[in-house]
Formats: sequence, C-alpha cells, structure tokens
Amino acid sequence: MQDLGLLDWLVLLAVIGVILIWFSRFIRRSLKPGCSQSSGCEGCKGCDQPEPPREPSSSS
Amino acid sequence: MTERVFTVALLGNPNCGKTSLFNLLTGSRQRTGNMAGVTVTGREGEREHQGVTLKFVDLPGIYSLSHNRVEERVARDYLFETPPDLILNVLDAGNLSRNLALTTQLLEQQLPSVIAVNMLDEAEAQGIAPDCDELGQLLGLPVLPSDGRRPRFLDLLLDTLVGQLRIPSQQPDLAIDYEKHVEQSLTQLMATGLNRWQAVQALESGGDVAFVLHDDQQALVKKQIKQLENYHDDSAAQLIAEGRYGFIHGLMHNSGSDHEELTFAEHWLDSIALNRWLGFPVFVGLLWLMFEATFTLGAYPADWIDATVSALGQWLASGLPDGLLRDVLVDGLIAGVGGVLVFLPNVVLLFTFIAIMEQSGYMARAAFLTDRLMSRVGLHGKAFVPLVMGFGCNVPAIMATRTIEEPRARLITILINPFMSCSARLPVYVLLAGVFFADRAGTVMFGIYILGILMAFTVALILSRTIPTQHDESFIMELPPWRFPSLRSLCLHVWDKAGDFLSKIGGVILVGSLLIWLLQTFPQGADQSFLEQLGHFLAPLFAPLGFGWQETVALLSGFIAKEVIVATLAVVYQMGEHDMVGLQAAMLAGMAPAAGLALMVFTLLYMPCLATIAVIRRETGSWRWALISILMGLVLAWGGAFITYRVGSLFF
Repeated sequence: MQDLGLLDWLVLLAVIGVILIWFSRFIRRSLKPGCSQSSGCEGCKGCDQPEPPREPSSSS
Repeated sequence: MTERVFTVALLGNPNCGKTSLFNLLTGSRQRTGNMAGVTVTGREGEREHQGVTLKFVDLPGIYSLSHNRVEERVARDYLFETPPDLILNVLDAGNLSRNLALTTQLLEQQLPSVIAVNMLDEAEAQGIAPDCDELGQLLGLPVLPSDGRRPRFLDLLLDTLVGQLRIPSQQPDLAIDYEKHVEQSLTQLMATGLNRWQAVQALESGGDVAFVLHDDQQALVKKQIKQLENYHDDSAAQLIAEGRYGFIHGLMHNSGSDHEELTFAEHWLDSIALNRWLGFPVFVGLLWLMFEATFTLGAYPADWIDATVSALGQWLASGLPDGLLRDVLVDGLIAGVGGVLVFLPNVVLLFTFIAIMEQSGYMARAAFLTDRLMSRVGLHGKAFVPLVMGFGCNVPAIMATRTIEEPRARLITILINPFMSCSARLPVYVLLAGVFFADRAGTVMFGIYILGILMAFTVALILSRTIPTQHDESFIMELPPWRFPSLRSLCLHVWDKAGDFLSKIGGVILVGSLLIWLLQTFPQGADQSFLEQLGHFLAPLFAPLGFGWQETVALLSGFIAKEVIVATLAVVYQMGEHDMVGLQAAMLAGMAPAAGLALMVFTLLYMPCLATIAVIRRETGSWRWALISILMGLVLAWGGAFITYRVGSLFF
C-alpha cells in the first residue's frame, strides 16, 4: 500500500469492515436452519407460507 | 334386526328441493323436532334400508355456514354440537355454482358428505345438467343424481348412504388457495391453534363462530379483517367468497358445466382467454406487449434517474479531494448502486403488468391454458403459482411449492424454478438488450423469458422421466371472476415489489459494489488489480462464449445476487464515465452483440443465487438437490451461451 493517508486507511478499514460484517450476516441468515419441509413449522417466525405437507409415516 | 341408528342431515340452499327429497326419503314417518336452543324448527324422519335405520334431519335451507342469519346459526350449531354421521348435501342442478359454495364449506371442514344433485330434469331441459360422475371424481366424493318428486334415483341414493355409513370413504382435504393476503391472515390465525377451516370461518363471519375463540384470537381476527380491508377495497368475507367462487368456476369448467351465470362480457372474455386455438397466441402476445412496454416506457424515468445519479457522481468527483473516499463514493457506490437503481422503473412496470394480469383474473385463465402442457411434462397444476411467483423472486416461489403434496411434482417444481427469470435478472437484460439490440430490446427480453420457460419445461420433462412418482394428487384449478384491478391494491402490490428492490439496493447491491470496487482498486500500483487477476485466471473458461475478464467477474459476483452483475459491469467498465451512456459505449466497444446475447442466456440459466440455493437445500432437506441445481444450471448455461454465441455470430 503506497501513499495512503490516515483518511484513506480509515476508509479502507471501514469498507472491509462493512463487507465482512454484512457477508457474515448474509451467509449465516441464508444457511441457518429455519422451518422447512423436513423440519416443519416448529420455531417458525412467520414466513407467510402454508405448513409443509408431511409424508405419512410408514407403518411396518 | 337393524344394526344401529345413523343420523343423516340434509343440508342445502333454500329451494333446492331438499324438503321434497326429505319427504321422499322418509315417507310419512316424520315428526317435527326442535333444534337445540333456538326456535327455528327442523324435521326428523326415519327409514330402514338394508337393515340399517337412517334418521334423516332436515336442516333449514342456508347459503353459508359463516353468516349470521338465524337459520344459518341453527344449521352451523347443529353440525358443530351434534355432528351427524353423514351429511346429504342437496344441490340444485340449475344453480350449481351458488349451491357449491356451501359444499366447499362442508369439504373444508372435512364433514362426511354425500352430494345429491336435485332437479336434474329441469337442468337437462335447459342444457345445463352437470356430469355427476365427473363432478364426483373432481371433488373426491360420491355425487349422485336425485329427484325429489319421483323415486327413480332413490334406491341408488339409499344404497350409497348406507355404504358410506358402513365403510366411510376418506374425506377429501379441500384447501382452497385464497388470495395471498387472505392466506397470510389464515397462517397468522392458524399459528394461534385454529384449524384452517376455523380460521377461514372466523375471518368470514367476523369472529362470530360456533366454536370458542379466546380473547387473543378474537383480537387477532379483528386485526386481520381490518388489515385485509385496508389492503383491498373488499371485505374479508368478500375476498373469501371470491376464492370459493374461483374454485367453483374452475371445478365447473373442468366438469364441463360452466355455462351459467356469466355476463356477456365475461363469457366473451372467457371465450377468447380459454379458447383452445386463440388463447395461447393471445397469451404470448400479451407477454410480448408486457416486455416491450416494460422496456420502452421504462426508458423515460430511467433516463431521469440516470441523469440525477450522473449529476451526483460529477458533483462528488469535483467536490471531494483525491483519495479513497472519493474513489469509493464515485467509482464504487455511485457507479454500482446507481447503475442498478436506474432499472427501478422497469421493475415497477413489469410488476404492474403482472399484478394487472393477476388481479383481473387473466393469470388464472393462462394457468388453464398451460395446464395440459404442464401435466405432459410432469408438472402439477399447483405448480403454476410458484412458477409465476418465480418471476418475482425464486426464494418465496420455492417455499410456495409446499402446497404441492406429491413429492416428485414438488421436487421438479423446486428444481426448475430458478429458470423462471426473477426480477433480479431484469436489470441485466434491460442493460444488455439496450446496449446491443436497442431497436428490438423488448422482443429480445421476451425471447429470453420464453427461453427460460421452455428450458424449465424441458428439464421438468427429463426429471419426470427419471424420478419415480409416489401418488397422484387431484387438483381443481380456480377461475376467479373477471374484474377491474383495484387501483389501491395494485399500488400497494407494486409498492411492495419496489420496496423489495430498493431494500436489495441498500443491502446486497451496495455491499457487492463495495467489494467489487475494493478488488478493482487494489493492489495499488500493480499492473492488474485483484479483480482483473481473478478475471484473467478464469477467463479461458468463458472465452468460447465471447466473454472477457469483465463479464467473467460479473458472472462470479452474480452468485451473491443477480443484480450485482449489473453493478459489477458498471464498476469495471465505467472508467471515468458515470452515466448509462458512458457504460453503454464502453460495453459496445468491449463486446460483440452475439456475446451480449450469450451473456443474457448465461445469466438466465446459470446457478441460482446464494439465497435460492439455501432455500432449495432447506426445502428438499438435502445438499444433494442443491448441488444438482447448481451443476445443472452451470452446464445448461455454458452450453446455451456457447450455442447462442456461435449461432449469433453468424447473424450479428
């Protein structure tokens, strides 16, 4: 890094910080296990979708 | 010796011939009985058949179980407090759709029912007699002809009643797809412990129901009703009635008995929209018109936004001292975010047209037209709504496939949904079509959307041949009445979509632009930035498609969200220029038109964005299908773009 002043460094750190924080939140929220077809609506905070149909349990 | 006494309640609209049938069933063995707690009287009578004693209860004629007239309360309370063993739902064949509204309520409650279609001779004379067998198959219930004046169908009716009482058949689980805000209200009410039918009835009756509603449930019902009334010009009861009649209209169309109660205009519109030969060209023509108008009309406000963004960029560039702050604001945020913001009018216009088609009732007719084609490629009729939702965003569209119960049909709908061009891809198409095919940009965009639909159907056909099916699921498509879209509802709907787009601009596009700027700016003083190095490293993979390193990194960034492709192109191509004209000129100089078309095809087909991949994994319960979706998209995109580039190079 050449010829970067204090303000430049602050801008650079702020940009990197924003990117890291936002992407870590984005990935965590995208991949977190929420209500789903496999787990049902338990713990759902409201996705406005109907409860997923469950396959009938097989009796052996 | 009789086995036991079964109670059969006769229920139907006033004047449907119910009492005549009751008299025929009971002969003279009848007496008057009081319904519990009220003064309205019903009648009871008995008859023995095949060793079984049938106690018939003639309930007051009603139109609905959710309204508050005295006779309706009587019937409702009777069914709830002393449920009969079986309901004999009597329908007037001459007013079938109105009579079926009550039937849908019985089916929603899963009350054990047999349907008797009365007054068939009169309906036959008018040429509007329904096909009882077809109706029975569609409803999943025994539907029998009956005649209250003559005993010609009596034995068949009694045999069926006794058969149903001895070995009850499984009741169909009718879940009408109501308007989406009604569905949201139902979901909220069901979260408080109500069944779906209880939630429907609570909304429909304003909370005046036979079952107990707690104070918090009552409060929520009132709140939801108010919200629905604020959102639409109609009451909750009217919205639910529309859903019911949409279902009934679809049912009657499917059973070939939909020739009643339509005005001339409705009949004329249906005759075109549902016409076997004319309907499809009209549908395609309307889609073309939609994309042409989206591009042409959207260009004017887009120019105003572009001018404003450009002026802001120039003002900042001239007002701020040299340094990273100026660079990040002008070359990062203004170029990237501003580059996407200019497409807001196009997004708003597209959603306005889609909302008009939905609210007018045309979209449901389009679903009818495509139903046969969809079933041929292994798609369920219920897949239409999630696929149309995919034009907005694939994430909620994939979640909406939960309405499809059959696992194979649901999985196929999930996997093909990313081929439905979401609104995030619209800015890419508008930009590239505007740059390379300015004279026929609307047609090119239309072609890209159609290609996505064709690809979705082709993949569905292949998947349906390879994934085994588990069971068939019956489906009755709904045909809502034609109506003028409500301006208020239209505005709110479009505002919702514009809000989604703006919130993405303030989120993923802003941060994506910062990331691209960072990678483009550093390391300082080197021959190539990190972004160029990455682009050049991967470019050989994309060189056969006519893409340079700029397009390569743009496509990589699109993995986060597809709008970021435009932001990236704006950042990497705009060196010193901060308006659309500068970007267009730079792109035109850097790419061949065939490569531009190939880039559109690649953007259409390649792997879904991160959020969509996550929701595919969640909904299918495995990473395997998410991975298959990614690989399938990449292979099809590369192949499709290669063919497009090679063939396109011969013409452009």
